[in-house]
Order: sequence, then structure tokens, then C-alpha cells
Amino acid sequence: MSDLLNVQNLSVRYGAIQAIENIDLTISEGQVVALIGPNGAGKSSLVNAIAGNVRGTSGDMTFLTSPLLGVKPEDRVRLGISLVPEGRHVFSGFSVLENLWLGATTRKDRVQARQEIEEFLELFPILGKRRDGLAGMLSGGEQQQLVIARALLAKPKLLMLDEPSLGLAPLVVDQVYDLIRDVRKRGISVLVVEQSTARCFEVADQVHVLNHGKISMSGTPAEMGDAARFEAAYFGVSGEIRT
Amino acid sequence: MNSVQIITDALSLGGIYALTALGIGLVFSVLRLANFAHAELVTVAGYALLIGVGLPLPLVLFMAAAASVLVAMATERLAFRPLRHVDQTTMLVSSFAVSILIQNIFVFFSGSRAKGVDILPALARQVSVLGADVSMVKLTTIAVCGATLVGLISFLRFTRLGLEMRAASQDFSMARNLGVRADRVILIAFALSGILAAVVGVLFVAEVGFVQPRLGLQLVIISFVGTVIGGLGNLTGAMVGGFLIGFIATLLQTFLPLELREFREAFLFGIVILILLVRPHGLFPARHLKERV
Amino acid sequence: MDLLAKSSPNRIGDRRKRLIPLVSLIVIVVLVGLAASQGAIVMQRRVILALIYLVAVVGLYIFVGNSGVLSFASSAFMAIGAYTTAIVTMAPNMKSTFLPDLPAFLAIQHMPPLAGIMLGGFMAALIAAVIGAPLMRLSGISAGIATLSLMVIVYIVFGNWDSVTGGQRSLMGLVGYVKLPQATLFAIGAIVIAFIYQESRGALMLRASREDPVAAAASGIRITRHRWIAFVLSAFVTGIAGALFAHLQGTVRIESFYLSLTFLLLAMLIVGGSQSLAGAVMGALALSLLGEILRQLERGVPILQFDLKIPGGLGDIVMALCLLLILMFRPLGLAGGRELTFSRNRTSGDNG
Ligand SMILES: Nc1ncnc2c1ncn2[C@@H]1O[C@H](COP(=O)(O)OP(=O)(O)OP(=O)(O)O)[C@@H](O)[C@H]1O
Ligand SMILES: [Mg+2]
Repeated sequence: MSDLLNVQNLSVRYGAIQAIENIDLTISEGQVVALIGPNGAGKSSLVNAIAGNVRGTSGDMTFLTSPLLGVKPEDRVRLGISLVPEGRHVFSGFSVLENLWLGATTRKDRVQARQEIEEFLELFPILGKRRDGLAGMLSGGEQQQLVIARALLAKPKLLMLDEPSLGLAPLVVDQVYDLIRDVRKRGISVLVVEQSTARCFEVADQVHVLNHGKISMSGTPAEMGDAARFEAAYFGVSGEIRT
Repeated sequence: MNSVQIITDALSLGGIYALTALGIGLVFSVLRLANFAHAELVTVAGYALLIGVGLPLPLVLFMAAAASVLVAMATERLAFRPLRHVDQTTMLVSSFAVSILIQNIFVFFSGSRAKGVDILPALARQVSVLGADVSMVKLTTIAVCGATLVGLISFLRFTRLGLEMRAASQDFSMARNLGVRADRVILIAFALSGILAAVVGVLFVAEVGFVQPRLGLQLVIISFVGTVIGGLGNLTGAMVGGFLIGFIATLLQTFLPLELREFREAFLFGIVILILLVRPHGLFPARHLKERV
Repeated sequence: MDLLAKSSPNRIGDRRKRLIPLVSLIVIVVLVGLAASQGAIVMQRRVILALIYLVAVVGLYIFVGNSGVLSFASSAFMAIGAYTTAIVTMAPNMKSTFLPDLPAFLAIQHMPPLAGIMLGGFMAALIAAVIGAPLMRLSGISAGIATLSLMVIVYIVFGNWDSVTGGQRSLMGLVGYVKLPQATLFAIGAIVIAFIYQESRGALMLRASREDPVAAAASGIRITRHRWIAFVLSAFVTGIAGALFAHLQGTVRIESFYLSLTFLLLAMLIVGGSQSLAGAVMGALALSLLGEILRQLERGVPILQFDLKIPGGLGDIVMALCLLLILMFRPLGLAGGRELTFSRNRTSGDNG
């Protein structure tokens, strides 16, 4: 497996707040990498820096062979980096179909794109049924499906998901993770950000723990050990064990 | 005045204000810039007509549109793009600076006095509609404004670029993360505002029959107010706000007692303040006014 | 670390240190006044005008700088100040010529100019107090539009209220009271008022609210009240500037008090930097100076054997260009949001 994304020594700060500090991160082709950490650890800052939404104060990033420094977010999408941001960000006043078409903004092969949109509408029957309804009226889980489908329409090589299970019922989270497995089967690399470990341990090849802006621990899920115990040890959470 | 005349007046004035408010609103919705220099986009179309006197009408109209669009895009590229990182007030003041700059260029080359332009003599007559005499200019204005509105709405609703523009105005950052090109969308918003300004400029000059360096100023201030009471950042709001202002102005003009009529605009702006006090974010507040790029 | 460096210097000289920004600005204004007194009469008039603009910009700063809310109302308050002093100070026989329909109690007034000027400030403050009360709930562009509307209303009303203002006609024959010493003193007075105000608790709260809108919303009512105070005080100072303007020109015309004046004052504030008093002062002086240089160039300046001359009208174009360039390269204004302290470890006025 060759490297897809290479982040070296990346730091991000907002005024006086150092959000992440000297992060190194590598994602290989086809790999699913999980990034976990408590609130304010800097997870969103990291994915936003990769997506180009915030500027790193120092460090280097390379995607395949292209250096990412100075590349605008819209051009990073064209390179193959797609982000599903925290809080989903559907265009709530737009129809489901329009949201999907926005996902295909970078596509030149419109016929093919239209076909893929139809496939997604079939894959998610609820979206299909409400294709002309307002996206803002969908439930949280449906919106999550919509934004993942929307991101996939850009044909990314790397899909970044910032807390995809936030605010979703366990059953719906299952669906989201099924979808992630699906994405990986298409050969797309995934960087998934979560606060808790349980779910991403099931899909991840590699796990990084982010604390106070630094990666405090990395390894495969197996190396990390039992998810629940791990969680208790690192976050002091013991009650909320999900399987 | 009878009701047919009042309605034509209200519709033609409202249409002019609505197109202007939309031009301002389009730029505001993607850039969060309240562009006072929109006035000069209107004016420049007027001067293009002046230069084109004697040429075939379609050519003259094309020149007017091209002039406004070019100036709009040039101001974006040369002035507003380098200023994107500054705060809203500074942007606003810089748009004054651009406005004054262009005004003074007109003064420099053409003097500050009004120059007569009679582009469409054919329109300078009255026709009878439902038994009332109404001016041909006003009817044309209504028709052209209507057509332009339909064109603009179809562009925004049914084309891919229109979709991207609407997305950018709702959540610019997310739109960029889907690949919407920020620079291009903003430039196109300016170009469209230029087209709208050109339409307004031509209609306005056809009505008043002259151009001068401050031609667009008062129009833009009133329309700007329309944009705000409609709900800044919301294009439907801008359109409704523009029409509303036109209607109120016509009603005040018609129904105010004679001795108060010269205070018409004071009443108009008084009503504006009242609307803002009741609805500080306008009649149709934009749902999410996210930060601009 | 940063914070320590700023607050550590010995606290003993603190009180005196806090006055440094004020004293430096006063010294600057006095120096400008003294320098101008050596110049020709025409030159002096230009400097007086610059000092009057300074008063108006400082007035604008009191509201905009502290609250962070935009206002276009400057020329309205200046108009109120100018017309007030005109109506109460003009000789009754002049008034019977220009304002034959003036109500009797106004027609008989014949106050000294200083009283008229102060009354001008108070009238502006009074109107600001009444209109400002509901308006202060607005912020952002809505506030801007509301004050813009206020300006248009004053312009239309004064331009058509023939019995009291003379409508479109000019009022003439005001006492030319404002000479260099008066202008300098009023400029100093405005700076002192603005300084005292910005050191007050209310102003501190306002500035804090500008930085942190969430906290501002939490303490909403008090913010509205403090904004109102700033607005009224700002109108007072601006009204005085308008009255001074009237007593410099000797005439009052409504056309002087519209968009271009408001634009000019706003531009001066933003160019100087709306976040500090030093910015307001520097902006007013810098743009006045630039305007004067360009005016001289349009008239022709002999340099060695050449006569350097730019075509008439080009000055305004260059002025607008300079304005744009300054905004591009110094978006926080010439003063960059700081007060003048002349120390390496500067303490900034509000964001330090
Ligand atoms: N735009 C911003 N301006 C200033 N500070 C910010 C900004 N965005 C994030 N921060 C700060 O940076 C730090 C890291 O934030 P970040 O959003 O990256 O954390 P996170 O790990 O994603 O947290 P969460 O799990 O709550 O989403 C936090 O202290 C946060 O307050
Ligand atoms: Mg986050």
C-alpha cells in the first residue's frame, strides 16, 4: 500500500489557542484510520486543516504527489479529498436532489454523475422518496446519509468524516458504519473522527488518539486492546460502553 | 390620477428598485459586501448610452450591458478581492471609495453637469390602457423588469452555476468543500449585478432623459434600504423589499397632502426605520448568515 | 508570556501612563494649530476646516469606535448643530430677510456664537436621545441602514422646512467666530471628552461587547443603554462640529450635509482606525492633509524650474485611490487600533 496522505509536523492555532501541535499522520490507500479524542482535543482542527478550511501555522502536507500548502479547499476536492464536516451541514433550504447535485460540482461526466445520484437514491430509499423535499426536513440520520452520499459524488480518494455518529441513535449509527464499510469496499480511504472508541474500532485499520492537540497514542485496534477498557483508561469513561 | 396609473407607477418604480436591490443582494449574499459602488454600475450604463448615441439600438444596449459588467468585474478583481479579509465596515467604506473613484472619473472626462440622452424617442408617448393614459416608458419598464426577473430566477433555480451561487450564499465554506470555486462564484455575482445595473441604467435614462455622474446614487441608496428591509442575504427578500419600497414611494407620492409631498422621502425612510425596529433582520431574514470566505 | 510582558512594567507610574495617549494627541493638535498660525489666511482656513472635521470624526468615533456599530448619522447631527446655531445667532434683521416665517420666539433670538454652538451640540444630543432610544437595539447592517435613514430624513426635512430652515436656500450672515484658536480649543475639547468617555466603565463594557457578541447578548439591556449614552454623546460632539462649520463658512446650506460629508467622515475614521481615539485623530488629519496636497497640486506647485501640476479633477480620483490603497494595506487603519504611547511595550487602548 502506498501513501495517500502525508501530514508532517502540522500545527494549527487560533490566536492564542494552540489547537494542534506538531502532528504527523499518514494514511495509505484503502486504509480506514480512526482519530479519537475528547472535546476540544483538536480533531476538527486537524481535518479542517487537511480540507483546507483552516490554515496550518507550520508543517507540510502532501496528497499523493501534490503538496497541499496554499491549495484552496475547492481545489483539494478536485485532488480527491472530501470532508463531511461536524454538524453535517446539509443545505437545508435546498431539495435532497439539489444537495446531491452540489456533491457532483466537480464532475465533468454529468451523465455518469446523474446515474450515480439515482443509485444513491435507490440505495437510501428514504432519500429517494423525498428527493424533491427540503433537506432540512430530514432526520439527523437521513441527513448523515445524504451528506456522505453527497461527499462520495465528488469521487474522493480520501473521505473524512467528522463525528458522523454525533447525536444519532445507536441503530442509526450502525447504519452509518455499515456505510463506511461500504465506502472502504469501493477502495476509498477513510479518516473517521469520533469521541468514543467502540464503533471505529470495528472498522479501523489504524487508530490515533488525540489529546490536547497532540497524538498521544497510535496503533491498530488489536494493539489498543479491548475498546471498552481502553476508553475507561484514557477518558475516564466507564458507563457508556457500547458494543 | 386613477388606479391604473398608480399601479403602473408603482410597478415600474418597484421593478427598478427590485432589480437594483437584487443586484446589491446578489453580491451581498456571496461576499457579505454592501456594495455602494453598485450606483456607478448603473451610471456607467447611462454613459455608454451617451457614447453610443446614433449607433443602432441593439448595439447601444449591448455596449451599456458590457460596460456595466466590465466595470463590475473590474471592481471585484482590483478592489474587492484584495479586501476580502477585512471586516464588513471597512469593506463598506471601501465600496464608497470605489464609488467616489468612478464618479470622479466621470466628472473628469465628462464634467459634472447632466447631459441629455434621448435613446428611445419611440417610448416618449402615452398609450391608453383600460381607459387611462399611461406612459410607454413605464409600460416598457414593467415588461423589461419582469422579463429580467424571470431570467434571473431561472438562472438561479435551474442552472448548475445558479445552484452553486445559492449554495455559496447559504454556507460558503461547505460549498467550497464540495468544490464550488469561491473566486468564480463571486466574480459571477458581480457580473450579474452588472447586468441588472445595466438594465436599470437604460430604463432609468430612458425615463429621465439625461445622465450625470451621480445618476445611480439616490436609486441605489433607496434600493439598498429595500435589500435590508427585505432581509439581507435573502434574494427573495431583496426583490420583495425593492417592490415594497417602490409601492410605498408611489403611494406616498399619490396620497400625501400636497404640502407634505416634498417630505415624501422622509416618510419613506421613517417607515424603513419602523420596519427595522419591528423586524431588525428584515421581513424575510436569511436563515443562516454564515461568515463569508 | 505575551500578557505578562504587557502588564508587568512598574505599576507606580500607571495613572500617569494612562494619560500619555491623551496628552500626545493634545500636543499634536496644538502643534498643528501653532504651525498653521504661521501660514497664510487661506492656509489657516484649511487647517480650521481640518480641525472641525477632526471634531466630527472624534464625535463619530465615540459611538462607532466604542460600540462597533456603524453610523451614517454624522451629517445629520452636523446639520442640526449648524442650523441651530444659525437660527439662534443670526441678527434678527438678517432673519427677517432669509426666514420671514420663523416663529417669533426664534426670530428674536440673538445669542453670542459660543452659546449658539453649544446649543447646537445640545440639540443634536437631544434628537439623538429621542431617536436613539429605540434604534440602539439594532446592530450590524440594520443599524447602519437605520442611521442612514435618519440622515436622509434630516436632509429632506431641513431641505423643505422653509419657515424654519429656509429650505433649499442658504442662510447667510453668521458670525465668523471660528478662528484658529477656537478651532484648536474645540478640537482639544472633543478629544478630552472622547478620552474621558472611553475610560469610563460603560465604554469598557461596550468595547468588551464588541469583541464578544455572545456575552453582549447575555447582558443585552445594559449594552443597549450604554450604546445609547455613546450615541447621545457622539451626537453632541458632532453637532458642535456642525455649528463650528457654520461659523467658519458664515453660511449654511443643506447640500453640505449629505452623503459626501458622511462618507468623508467615515472614511477618515476608518483610515485612521476606528478602534482607537488616536486613529480618529490621525485619520482626520491625514485625509485633510492628503486633500490639501492634491488641491495644491491641481493649482500647480513650482518645484525647481518645473511647475508640477495635475489636471483639475484628478485630485479627487487620486484621493479615492489612496483611500482604497490604505484600506487594502492597513485594514485596521493607520493607528492599527492602538493609542499613542511612545513606549516599546505599548499598551493598546482596548485590545491589549
Ligand atoms: N475558529 C476557532 N477560533 C478559535 N478557537 C477555535 C476555533 N476552532 C476551534 N478552536 C479551539 O481549538 C481547540 C480545538 O478545537 P477542535 O474543534 O479542533 O476540537 P475537537 O477535538 O474537534 O472538539 P469536539 O470534539 O468538541 O468537536 C479548542 O480549544 C477550540 O476552542
Ligand atoms: Mg470537532
